[in-house]
Amino acid sequence: MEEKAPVANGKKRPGVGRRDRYIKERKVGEGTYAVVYLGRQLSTSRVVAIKKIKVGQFKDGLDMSAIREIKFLSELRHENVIELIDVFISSGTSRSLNLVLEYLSADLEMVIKDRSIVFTAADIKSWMRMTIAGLYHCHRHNVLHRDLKPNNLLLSPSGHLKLADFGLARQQPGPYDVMTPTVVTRWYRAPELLLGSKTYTRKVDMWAVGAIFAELMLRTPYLPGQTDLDQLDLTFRALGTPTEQSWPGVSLLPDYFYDPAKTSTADTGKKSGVYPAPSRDEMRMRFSAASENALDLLCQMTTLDPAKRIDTRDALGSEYFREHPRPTQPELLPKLSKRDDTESDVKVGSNNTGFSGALRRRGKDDAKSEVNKERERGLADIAKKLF
Amino acid sequence: MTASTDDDLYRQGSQYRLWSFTAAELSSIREKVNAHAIAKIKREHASQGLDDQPVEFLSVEEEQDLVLYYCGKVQDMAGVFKLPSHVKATAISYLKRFYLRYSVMEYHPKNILHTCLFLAAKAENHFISIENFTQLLAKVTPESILELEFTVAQALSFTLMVHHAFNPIHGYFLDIQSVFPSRIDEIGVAHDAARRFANDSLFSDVAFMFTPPQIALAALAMANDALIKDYLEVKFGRQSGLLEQLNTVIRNVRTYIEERARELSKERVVAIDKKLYFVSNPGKLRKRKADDDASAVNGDTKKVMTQKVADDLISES
Repeated sequence: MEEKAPVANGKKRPGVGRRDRYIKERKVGEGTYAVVYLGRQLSTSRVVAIKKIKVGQFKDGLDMSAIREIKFLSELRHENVIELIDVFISSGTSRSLNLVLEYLSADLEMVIKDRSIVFTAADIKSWMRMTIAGLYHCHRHNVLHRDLKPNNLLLSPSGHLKLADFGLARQQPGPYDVMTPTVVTRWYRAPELLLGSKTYTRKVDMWAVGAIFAELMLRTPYLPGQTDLDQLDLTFRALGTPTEQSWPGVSLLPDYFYDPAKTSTADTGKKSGVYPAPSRDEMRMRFSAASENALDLLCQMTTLDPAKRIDTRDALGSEYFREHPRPTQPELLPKLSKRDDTESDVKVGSNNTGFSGALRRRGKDDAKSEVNKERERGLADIAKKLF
Repeated sequence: MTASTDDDLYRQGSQYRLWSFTAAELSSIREKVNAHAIAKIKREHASQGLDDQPVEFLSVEEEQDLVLYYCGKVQDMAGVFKLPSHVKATAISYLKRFYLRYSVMEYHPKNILHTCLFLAAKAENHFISIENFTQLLAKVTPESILELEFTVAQALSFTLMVHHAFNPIHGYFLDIQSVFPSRIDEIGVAHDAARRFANDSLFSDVAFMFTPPQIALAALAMANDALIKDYLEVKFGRQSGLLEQLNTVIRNVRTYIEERARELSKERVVAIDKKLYFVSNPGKLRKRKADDDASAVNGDTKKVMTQKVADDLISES
């Protein structure tokens, strides 16, 4: 278990600095893609998470998820983005790639699910602020995260929130590039992705943050679609079916099949019905605890037309973050009430569970345990009652 | 909210922190890499009892010319796979960065270049499976590419992000249009030509010494000097100090790009590669000496050897 990083081939080589040594202390998680250890940086005794990529598994060499994670985390240094401390190749019978990440003990999903914790409006504001600050940093570097969801928002022991799992991230492409729309875990997937857009922007991340904002207030997923079609239906039922008027260009998207002249599902015969946009009163009822400014920001984040959806800079400057109450200090945020020792206590983001890349997303959804499925169904029912 | 500028962001990135140098630092690094490799190979030869052979090691200049030749090969290969400019540019950057860590006498670029291109395609989101990748290349196996992947990634200090001049060229292209809306045709022509000069710049060291926007501006000036003069005059005419600085940068970048634009002669590459062959195989030198003595009687083996090296080089493409 005590695998050590080589000291740059043991020789001094121009430009290659001496590497730190690390010790792996305890295995805390394993998937098909990686094994995660709790470890320590020997020179500083700092506790770290070591994500060992199983390289031999991949016939095409270094896995794309690992490459993306290394590529982007090497560039993004911010207090609200997980820190990639080091990368090393471990020696031994089969050389393997190891990512040394900062140690983070929980994620936002665990906190949301912990029914014994009560959130205040100030707590929610604090998590939101840290999420958007981290995302602002990514977007300034032209990096799209493409998989924001509560269990990729990790929490440090001191309460700081960090964006993690950059295995699906990419740079905002040039004006002529196309991208795959099959990104982002379903419940947090923006409408332009659901409609098959290949030229989306960083606004897909903002949509996901909006869905997370709603989830923090509801304590249950906002739009828990069970299939991709169901997701589209749920999204439009909650926020209205987009039209050329509300979203210029929407009818040109590959999977747009709505005829605004017809208003019932029976008439269109496809996909889903045509729903009206919710009124302000309807939104107030859905989010009864939200202030008017909180509601404004939520609506701006979940605006269907990505061109009109708020960006990270404006979101950070919104009235919601200025009005009372002030965001809770990270150190004072609620922590998990009881710790289950059998559960992994090192978080490196969702892809440590073994599924990487957009193509495996569906598999991942299917692979969820029966318990989880049951929970999802229950939550879906609760959510549907809201509308 | 942070008040950092785009320039601050660039300075926080790996391209600035790890891969930016002055011309003097760059030559010092290359000299050290060269000396380090020679010392290492001499030790190896000694341990094999081959140190009596008069091996001629490569000079820093010869190493650089060979790397440059293989940068051209990356370009050809990227064409075979129809990879876009920035993937090709990233692969060339990887290759050039690799040879700031290692000497061509340690790792022959004909092997490293495949891994650089394969890795760049993945890092730039243009994944090509190893079968498809090797299918189109003669004498290359999946194993030969994959076994060097760690070596390359490690030599790059795992910094896979590379910023090129192409995006800033597009940015300037848009901004120049807003300044001179009536000169749209001229600007379009300059944009296309500037992309070609940005491509040429990959063969020089400018990416190690200047920022992508600086290289972009120089490439545009190479494409249409008058247009860029007018543009900079409108933008910075009132700040004569800044304008002077910019013009100096443009001149310098331009000089470096043009210096490297000269064609490398096939003869020179073949000669370097032949030297490299004997550095790696000093035993053959002993044999050649014996053959040379023999050839006084029956035929010219030396010529045959030169021809063989040339064939190897050509068959790479």
